[in-house]
Amino acid sequence: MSKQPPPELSVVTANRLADGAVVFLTGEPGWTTDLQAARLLDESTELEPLLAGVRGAGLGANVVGPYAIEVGIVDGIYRPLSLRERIRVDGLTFRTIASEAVAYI
Amino acid sequence: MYRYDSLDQTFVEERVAQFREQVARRLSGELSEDEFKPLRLTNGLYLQLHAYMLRVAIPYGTLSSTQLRMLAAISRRYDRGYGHFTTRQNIQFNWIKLEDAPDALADLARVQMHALQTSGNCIRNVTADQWAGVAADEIEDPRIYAELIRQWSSLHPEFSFLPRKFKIAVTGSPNDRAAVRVHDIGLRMHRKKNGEVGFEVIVGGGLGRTPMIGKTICDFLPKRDLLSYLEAILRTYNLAGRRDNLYKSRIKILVHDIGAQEMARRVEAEWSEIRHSALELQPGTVEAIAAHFATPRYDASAEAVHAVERRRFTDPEFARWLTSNLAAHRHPAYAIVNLSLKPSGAPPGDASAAQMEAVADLAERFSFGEIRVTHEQNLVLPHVARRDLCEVYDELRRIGFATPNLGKIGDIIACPGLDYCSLANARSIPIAQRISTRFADIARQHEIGDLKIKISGCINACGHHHVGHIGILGVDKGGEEFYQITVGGSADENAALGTIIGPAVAADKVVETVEKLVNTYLALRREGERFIDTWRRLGSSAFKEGLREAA
Repeated sequence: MSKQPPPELSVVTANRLADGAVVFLTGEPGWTTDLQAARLLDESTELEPLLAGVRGAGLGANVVGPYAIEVGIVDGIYRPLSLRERIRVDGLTFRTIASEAVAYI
Repeated sequence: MYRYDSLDQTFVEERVAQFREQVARRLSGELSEDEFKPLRLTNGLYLQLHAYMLRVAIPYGTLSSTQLRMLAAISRRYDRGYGHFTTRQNIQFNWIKLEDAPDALADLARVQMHALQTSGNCIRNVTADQWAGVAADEIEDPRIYAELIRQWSSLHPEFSFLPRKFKIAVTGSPNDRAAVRVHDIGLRMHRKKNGEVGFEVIVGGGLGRTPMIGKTICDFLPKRDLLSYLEAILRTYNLAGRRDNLYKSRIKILVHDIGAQEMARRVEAEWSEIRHSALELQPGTVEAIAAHFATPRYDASAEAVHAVERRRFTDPEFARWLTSNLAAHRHPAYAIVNLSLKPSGAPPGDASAAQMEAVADLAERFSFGEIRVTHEQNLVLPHVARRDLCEVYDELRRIGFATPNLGKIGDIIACPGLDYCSLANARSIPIAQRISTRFADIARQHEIGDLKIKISGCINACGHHHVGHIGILGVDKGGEEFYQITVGGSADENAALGTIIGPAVAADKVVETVEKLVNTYLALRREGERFIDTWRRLGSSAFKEGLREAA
């Protein structure tokens, strides 16, 4: 496989403490479930101090395990580059059975 | 079934109250995540990709209809209306909110269930043959000993911080349906010529990164010595198991490094100190536990009626179901009815709240209120009168659990994979769905015969891929999902690890590869040979050739 080019854009993601939902760091700063509203970081951003900040008592109080993920622009919207992160954003890649259903399809 | 006594009930309720307080302290910020994480894991609450997951213990896979109904209610109240039965006979709820978790646990406690020891470096939920107590081929009911092990291992203070997690499986039958050779300890009953029953003790089996088939360190352990001998094994492991390297911390590595003979010697030395201690099982203790698993009052006139026999000849789907989804019960007028949670195209092991409630109803009407969960992610009604088979079948068809594919290519084991799991490298469920859809034709499944496909989304092997007749392991290659295919694994009494059959294939080539392996088998099989038999006779070269030729 060819070497991946260095990441140009990234965002910080985490899971919300109360329910585990996937959230992204905004510029407010705060947290949103909408990737498109996330604060974009580029190569000029010093990631480690930023992550240390959002892991602390203030911004980190209501989330678990913040980390940075790479994103790209696809059809004008931000999309995670890795499948794992796309699944975190989009949800399951198959349909689950509904609670009152007695047949899958 | 075993019923909690007041000690059990009080303890479980106190643990719920304790966890409720811990959750409140976490939500208020009083506890950090580092402080809280071990507390939530102790209570079976994991944080996965997009939600918390609650893993509920189902001891040795035995459930009452009341308990199953409560699992359905929990899925409705706190989750998304479905649950996932796992390869360790547990159930997982995938969308539990942290703030709701104490209420879910309180509901579980009301029906004598909990999520303790479903995580962490402790003795996990003990698993057993899902046909325990009813199988025609059984020597003795292993649930009695599984329950004794559950009581001994629950919050055992010495074994709460082992080098790594520890899994015990028990079978009372010569036909191993509990995969005892791929557990940290596997217990297999034997009967001597003089009629005495005891256990063969197998240690150091396991899957994961370093798969191993367990080694027998004791050919015949008298039943009264079971707990003292297990304690001696655990002590030996607790002392000598590697704590410095996560990847070498399971007992299988210890047994591999020092050899089975030396392991047996160390265990025997330890055992000699404790054999005649309070751990020695007294007849009264065993009888008191056995009373919980007393034989139900079977009706001797429950044999199949004319309508069942007639339908066998007029309804081919029903006839196939009788052939593949029923098993011989020790009472001739009864049958073990296996429910397939693998309709083609469905996520293996998932059941909706409505389906769980329907199964609970069926169990109450036709199976003395009892249900079993299998490590192959199916359910069982263990005591169905043969005269009721048409009625049970019709209801199972209505709820989608009558697919006549038990043990066939559509009866796939799959871990949750990258759709849910934070450890996974690749998806499992969509691969299972594609395979079961390709082989949806039940007549074809029966023509192919017994074939076990097992899929894991990472090397931790929750989907038991190493012991699949065809095993499929998801790997990440440069950000793309690839799947490594193994052939020839088996988890039964002839346990074997699969052999890698070639380079990993892309996700869209998995079904094609499976089909080529199946076609190779169909072309080469002899009369009466199952897939695994043909593989054992011919070895990998014939199957590799089959993959090349069809390419």
